[in-house]
Amino acid sequence: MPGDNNQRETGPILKIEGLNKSFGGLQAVLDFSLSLETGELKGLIGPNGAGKTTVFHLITGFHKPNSGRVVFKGINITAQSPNRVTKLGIARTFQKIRMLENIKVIDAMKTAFYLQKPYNVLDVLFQTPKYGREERQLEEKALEFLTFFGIAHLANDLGSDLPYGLQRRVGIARALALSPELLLLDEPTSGLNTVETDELVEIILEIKDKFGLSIILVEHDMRVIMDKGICDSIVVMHQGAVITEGTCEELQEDERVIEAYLGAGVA
Amino acid sequence: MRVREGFTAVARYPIGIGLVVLVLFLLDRSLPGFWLTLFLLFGINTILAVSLNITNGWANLFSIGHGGIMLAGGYAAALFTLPVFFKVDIIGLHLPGWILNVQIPFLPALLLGGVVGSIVGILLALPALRLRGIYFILVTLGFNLIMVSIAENLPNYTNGAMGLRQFPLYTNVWWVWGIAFLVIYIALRLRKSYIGRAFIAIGRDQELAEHMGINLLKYKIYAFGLSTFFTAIGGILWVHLILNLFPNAFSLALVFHVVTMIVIGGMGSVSGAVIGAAIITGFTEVLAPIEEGFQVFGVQVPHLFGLTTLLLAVVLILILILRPQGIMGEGEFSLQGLRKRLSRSKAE
Amino acid sequence: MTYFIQQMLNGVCWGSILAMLGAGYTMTFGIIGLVNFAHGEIFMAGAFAAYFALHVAGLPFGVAAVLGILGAIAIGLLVERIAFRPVRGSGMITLFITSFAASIGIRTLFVMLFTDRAKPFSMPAFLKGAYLIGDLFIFKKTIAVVIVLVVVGALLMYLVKKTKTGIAMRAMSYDSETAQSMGINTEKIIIITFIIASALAGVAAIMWGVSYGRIRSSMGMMPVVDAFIASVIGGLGNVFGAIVGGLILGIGETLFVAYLPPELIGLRTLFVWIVLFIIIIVKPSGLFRANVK
Ligand SMILES: Nc1ncnc2c1ncn2[C@@H]1O[C@H](COP(=O)(O)OP(=O)(O)OP(=O)(O)O)[C@@H](O)[C@H]1O
Ligand SMILES: [Mg+2]
Repeated sequence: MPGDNNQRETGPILKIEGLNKSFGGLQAVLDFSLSLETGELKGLIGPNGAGKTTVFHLITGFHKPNSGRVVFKGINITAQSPNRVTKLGIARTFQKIRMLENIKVIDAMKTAFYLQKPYNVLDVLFQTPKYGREERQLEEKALEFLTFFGIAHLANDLGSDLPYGLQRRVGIARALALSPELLLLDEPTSGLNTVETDELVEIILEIKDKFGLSIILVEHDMRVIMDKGICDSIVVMHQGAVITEGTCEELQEDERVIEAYLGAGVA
Repeated sequence: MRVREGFTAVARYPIGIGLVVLVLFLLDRSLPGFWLTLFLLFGINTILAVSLNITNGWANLFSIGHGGIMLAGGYAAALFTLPVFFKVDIIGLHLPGWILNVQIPFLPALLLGGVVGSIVGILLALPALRLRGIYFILVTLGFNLIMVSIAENLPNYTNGAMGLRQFPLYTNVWWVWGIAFLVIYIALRLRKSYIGRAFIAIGRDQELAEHMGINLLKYKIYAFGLSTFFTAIGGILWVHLILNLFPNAFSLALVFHVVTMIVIGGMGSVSGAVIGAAIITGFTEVLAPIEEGFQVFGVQVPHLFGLTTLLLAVVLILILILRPQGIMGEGEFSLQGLRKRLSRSKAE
Repeated sequence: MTYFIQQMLNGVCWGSILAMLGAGYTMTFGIIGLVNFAHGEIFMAGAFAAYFALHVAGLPFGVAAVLGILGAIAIGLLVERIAFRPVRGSGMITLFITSFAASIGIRTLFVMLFTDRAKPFSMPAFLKGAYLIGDLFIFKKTIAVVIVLVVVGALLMYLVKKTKTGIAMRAMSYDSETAQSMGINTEKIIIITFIIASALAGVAAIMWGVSYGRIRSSMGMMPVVDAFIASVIGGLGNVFGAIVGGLILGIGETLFVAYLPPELIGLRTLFVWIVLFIIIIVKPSGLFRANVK
C-alpha cells in the first residue's frame, strides 16, 4: 500500500494503539497508546505494578495482547513471536537480569550476534576459510562491544559471576549486538548505586547517538528520570493506563503524577 | 606463529585422519574377539551419548524416548537387511514385496534407518515441543513405552516379541568408529558456531534466546532431528553387531544407561559424553560375567541379572549428589587446555 | 449396553488404583515439586510386603494389608532419604534423574531377589463372589475397592483442607520459603507428605492384589505412568482432581480395551497417551484448578 510506505518515511518508528492485556481477572495494561519518533528517547514511568514491563512484553510479542495494535516502522507486529520482532530491529533488556548460566561473557556476546549468521552449516562442517574469518570477526566485534562497555577484561569470566552493575551492562551490550533500531530498556539502573547509575546513563546516551537508536526507558524510580532530564518526553502509567505524557518540566507540576506515586506509596 | 597456524590448518586433518585410520586398522587386526566387541560397543555408546547430549545436554530437551527412536530406525533398517529367506520362509512377515524380496547393503540401510528415526523423532517432537520440563520428559517416556508396545504387538511386521534374528554381520570397526568420529566432529564444530550457540542458549534460557532472534521451534526441531538421526544409526549398528532385535532391546533401561553416560561425563560436554560412554561400557562388560554367574574354586556363583543396572542407579545418584557437574562439567577436553593447566601447575 | 456397563464396572478397580496412586503423585509434586518416578516401586514394595505377610508368614488379611501399607511407607522414606533429600533444591532435571534412578534401581533389585514371575495374591473369603443384578455381575471386591477409595479419599480431602498439617502443606505448595519464615517446619511436612503419598501407594497395592490376584516385581512400571497422567488430567497438584482423573482414565482404558479388536489388545497403552496428548493440547492445566498448588 502506498499509504503504508508513506508512513514508513515520515511517521513514528513505533506506534502503539489501544493495547489491552489481562491476566485472569487482572487488567495489567489498559487501552495503552504510545507514539515514538525516530531518534526519540522516551521515558516510561509508573509505580510498581503499573504494567510497564508488560507493555514491553506486548511489544516484543512475548505476551499476546487481548486487543490493540503495535506498529513498528509501518509494519504491524502485533502478537508476532519475539524472534521475528527482534529480527525486525527491536531489542530489549530485562528487568530481572538474565545471564546464560555457566557461560562466559564473551560467549554470551557471540551468542547474541546470532542474527548475523555470516556463514552456513556447510561452512561450519567443512571449516571453510569463510567460517574462520567470520568467527574471528565475531570475536573481535564482541570484544569491541565489551570494550565499549568497559568490561573487556572480564570477557573470560562467567556472566553470572560478575557484579550486578556489570551484569546490567552485559545485558545492554547483548541487546546492542542485535543491531536494533529500537531499544527497550527495562529499569537498567535498578539495583545500582548512584555512581553506577550516572555511568550507565552516560552510556545510554552515548549508544543512542552512536547507533542512532530510538529508546524507551522504563523506570519506576521517578527521580532517575526527572533529575537527569535525559528523556525527550515521558509517559506516566498507573494501573495499566497512561495517565499523562509530557516533558520533564511539565510533569513536575502535574498533580496526577504525584498522586499516582503517592497513592501507590500509601496503598 | 602465523606459519604454524597455516601449517595446522592445512595439514591437521589429513594427518589426524591418517593417524586415526592407522590406529583403527591396528586395533581391528590385533584385538581379540572379546576386546574388539567391547571396543565396538564403546563406539556405539559414544554415538548414542554424543547425540543424546545434543538434546538433553544442550537444548535442555530432556528426552528419555530415544530408545523408541532406536526401535523405529532399527526395525526400518532391519526389514531391509534381513536375508530374504528369513523374512519369507522362516518367520513369514506380511510385508509388501519390495521390502520382502530385497536385501540391501549397510550404507543405504543406515541412511534409511537414520532418516526414519529422524522423522519419527520430529513427529514426536512437534507436539512435545510445546511442553516444558517434566511434561516433556513424560511424553518422551510414554513414547518409548508406546514404541516397545507397538513393536511387540504388530507381529506381522516385526515378528512381535519373538524378535528378529539372522542379521548379516555388517557392523565393524570402520562403520562404528567412522560414524562415532563423525558425530563427535559435527557436535564439536556446531558448538563453536551460531547453531550450537543457539541450541545452548535455548537450553539455558528459552525466553532470552527468543529475544536474541532465535526461532525456538526451528532450533528445537534441528536439535531433535540431528540427535535422533544418529541415535537411530547407533541402534542399527547395535542390531548388526548383536545380530538380533527384540522390542525390549531398546527399552527405558537402555536409555537409562545412556543418560548415565552423559551425566557422568558432564551434561553439555561432548568429550564428557565420550568419557561417560567409555566408563559405562567398561563397567557393563566387567560386570557381565558376574551377572551371568561364574565359578570360583568349583563353587557356582549364581547369576545376578540386573546387577549392572542396579549399580548404575546407585552410581548415578551418588554422582548427582557428590559431583553434579560430572567429570568434564560443560567444558571440552583440549590439548591447549591441558597444556595451560600443566604450565599453570608447573608455575606454582 | 449391558456389556458397556459391565466393562465400566470392571474399570472401576483399575480406576481406583490409579486414583490412589495419582493422589500420592500429585501431593509430592504439588507440595515439594518432585515428580517421583519411584512412586511405582513404592507401590510395588507395598504389594510385596503384603504378599509376604499373607503367603509366607500366613498372617490374616487385615494385618497383611496394614503391613503392606507400612512396607510402602518404609520404601517411600528410603527414597526420600537417598534420592530426594541430598539433591533437594537442585533443578527439576536432577530430581527427575535421581527418582528415575531410584525407580530402576529398586525394581531391578526386586527382580534380582524375587524374579519377575507373577506371585499369587489370594483375597480373603469375604471378598470372593459377586452379586448378579439383571445381567450385570457386581463383584464384591469391586464394592470393597470403591468403599476404600471413598473413605480414604474423604480422609485425604479432610486432611488437606481442614487440618493444620494440610494448611501447612498448602502454604508450602505456594512458596516454601515463605512457609518456612511463617514458622512452618518444612522438613516435617516433607516427611509427612512422603508418608501419606507412600501410604496411598500401599492402599493402591492392596487394591491391586485384591483386584487381580497376583503381583510381580515390575508391576510398578505401567501404573505409575498412568497415574501420573491421571494427575495431569486432574490438574497437577490437585488431590481431588487426581482421584477423578484416575477414575476417568482407569474406566476409559478398560472400555478402550473392551472395544479394541482382539489382535490389537496389546496396544492398550496407547490409550492413556492419546488422552494425555489431547489434554495437554486442549487444556494443559487439567480439569480442575490446583488446590494444593
Ligand atoms: N505473567 C503474569 N501473570 C499474571 N500477572 C502478571 C503477569 N505479569 C505481570 N502481571 C501483573 O500485571 C501487573 C503489571 O505488572 P508489570 O510487571 O508490567 O508491572 P511493572 O510496571 O513492570 O512493575 P515494576 O515496577 O514492579 O517492574 C502486576 O500487577 C503484575 O502482578
Ligand atoms: Mg517491571
